[in-house]
Amino acid sequence: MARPIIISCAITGGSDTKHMNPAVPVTPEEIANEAIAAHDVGASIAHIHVRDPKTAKASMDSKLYKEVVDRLRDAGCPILINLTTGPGGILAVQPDAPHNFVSGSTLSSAEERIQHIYENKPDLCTLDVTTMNYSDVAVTNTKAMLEKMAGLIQKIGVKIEMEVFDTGQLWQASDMCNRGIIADPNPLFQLCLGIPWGGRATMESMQLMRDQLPSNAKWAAFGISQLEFPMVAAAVVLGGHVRVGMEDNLYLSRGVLTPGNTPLVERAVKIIESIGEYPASVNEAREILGLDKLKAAAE
Amino acid sequence: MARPIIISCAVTGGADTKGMNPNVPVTPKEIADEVMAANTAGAAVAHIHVRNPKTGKASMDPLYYGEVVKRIRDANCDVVINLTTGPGARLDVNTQTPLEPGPGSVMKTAEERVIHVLENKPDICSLDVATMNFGDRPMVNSPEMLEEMASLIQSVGVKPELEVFDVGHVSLANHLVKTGVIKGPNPLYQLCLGIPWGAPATPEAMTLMRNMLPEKALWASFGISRFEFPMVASAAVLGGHVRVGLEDNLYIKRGELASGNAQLVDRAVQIIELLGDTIATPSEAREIFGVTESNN
Repeated sequence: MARPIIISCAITGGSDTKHMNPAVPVTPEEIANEAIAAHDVGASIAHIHVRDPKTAKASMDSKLYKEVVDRLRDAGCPILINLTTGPGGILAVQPDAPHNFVSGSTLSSAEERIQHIYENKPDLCTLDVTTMNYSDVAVTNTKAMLEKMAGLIQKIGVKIEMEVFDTGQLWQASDMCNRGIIADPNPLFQLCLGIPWGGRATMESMQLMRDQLPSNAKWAAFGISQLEFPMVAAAVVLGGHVRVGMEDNLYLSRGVLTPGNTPLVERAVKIIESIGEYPASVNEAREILGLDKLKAAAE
Repeated sequence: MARPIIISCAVTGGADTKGMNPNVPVTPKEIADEVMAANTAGAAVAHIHVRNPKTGKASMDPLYYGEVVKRIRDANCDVVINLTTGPGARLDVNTQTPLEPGPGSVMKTAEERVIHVLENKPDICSLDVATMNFGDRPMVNSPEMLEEMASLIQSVGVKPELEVFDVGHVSLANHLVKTGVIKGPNPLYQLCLGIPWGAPATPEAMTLMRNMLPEKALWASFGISRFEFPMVASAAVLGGHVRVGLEDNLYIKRGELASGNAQLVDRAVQIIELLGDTIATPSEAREIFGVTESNN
């Protein structure tokens, strides 16, 4: 029987990619318009970062988040909104002064990292259950920080998507579920693959991580760059949901930049349908993720 | 054909375990004696941390390392010496003011972390290619720190053992090999499994990580606690070398504390021989690793 598959579209991300593809949306209006367009072609979740409109670089300004969310809601777009809480975890270690965190580090308090969640009450938000070398910098999310953020987020009925980048992170996230830190009958995991230096974007790696999930978990996975579409197929076949978008991949094919998020979503739809499944509607996604129950429980 | 398998014995580690098993060696003399007993039982390599004799807790004092190494060499024990460079990477984050290191942070410079390696020139030293939540606290080894440490270590002819705790760590270690940060034709990897929050101690995880290694890599693997012996068998079957010891596991079986490192090594010897392979001598291990006889 055909299975509804939730397509998340990660619209813009936080990497410095504008100069690599001019179609990367930057202003709140551009980001909102890309999310609306992604919904129109089959995405049921928009995963959103914001950028400083002047520099095009990542921003944590809650006003920018609010403008994106307001624009989506004002346009009557039903897409589920998933705001990132990733920024604020970078630790820049200087080998000759490892106790000086100030230069290059973005480490922020739990409250600072989720202020935009409190202001906008999205359907979902991410929680990076992650301490790792993320390319050249260390990202740290300590146990204490994760527990504090999770507590604050869940208090207002926002569903947490636990982003895990490797097998050990998945183990820690499962432990948070076991201990009731994540209080969700169907905890949601996002397996983020192919990011240096995390788990690989391979079928084997995805399968190893899937097999470690708690039995009541819901999960999605994605691969970055040229492995975006192979990992869509892998996740569909292995029983998960999928994610595409310009945060993860800037190309349609080798050397051909994508002109926006919609061609990436359209490609995911084609893969899903050609395997014999179908893209979940927003209502189906809401049901699969148990969003209404979580919201009711928090009220 | 029988393959010589190198047994490493991690004799004491840095975790606060003295209270959990009284046989955990603490003083330099106890550590050296355990190394020699493990060697007699079949361990070709000794992986060594030191402890403060007064508190029993982990220490970075180069004097203790010097004494352990001297005792081993003075006794004419030819065990391959592998000193840790792990300590000095513990991060404690203040949740409220995360830009100030918390009181539990022990973050040291590259030089401070390898001074005992430069002084004692062991055959091997570990290099944790790992930034992760290690239990309750992060262990942070940024790529830049790893490059500096690798360069210092190799400048005195010591072979780094790349300790990796998860899939992505293997990728970073491979990158360090590929970019020439880690030199030599046969880079050495240690797949450390079952430590929260790293890769699980399962044959599936070990297989996946093994399959990622460069073609000419040498590798060993271990699992902690009750997975120590299942992972000895897995590594032997999958073509790797093995590690046991009180650093990784305090028990010989459920509810029964190990009497010392030699007992754990004995068990590894038994597993390897039952599988039809042989126990590598220190000379065979040096030959496999491509390191020359130590400077004793």
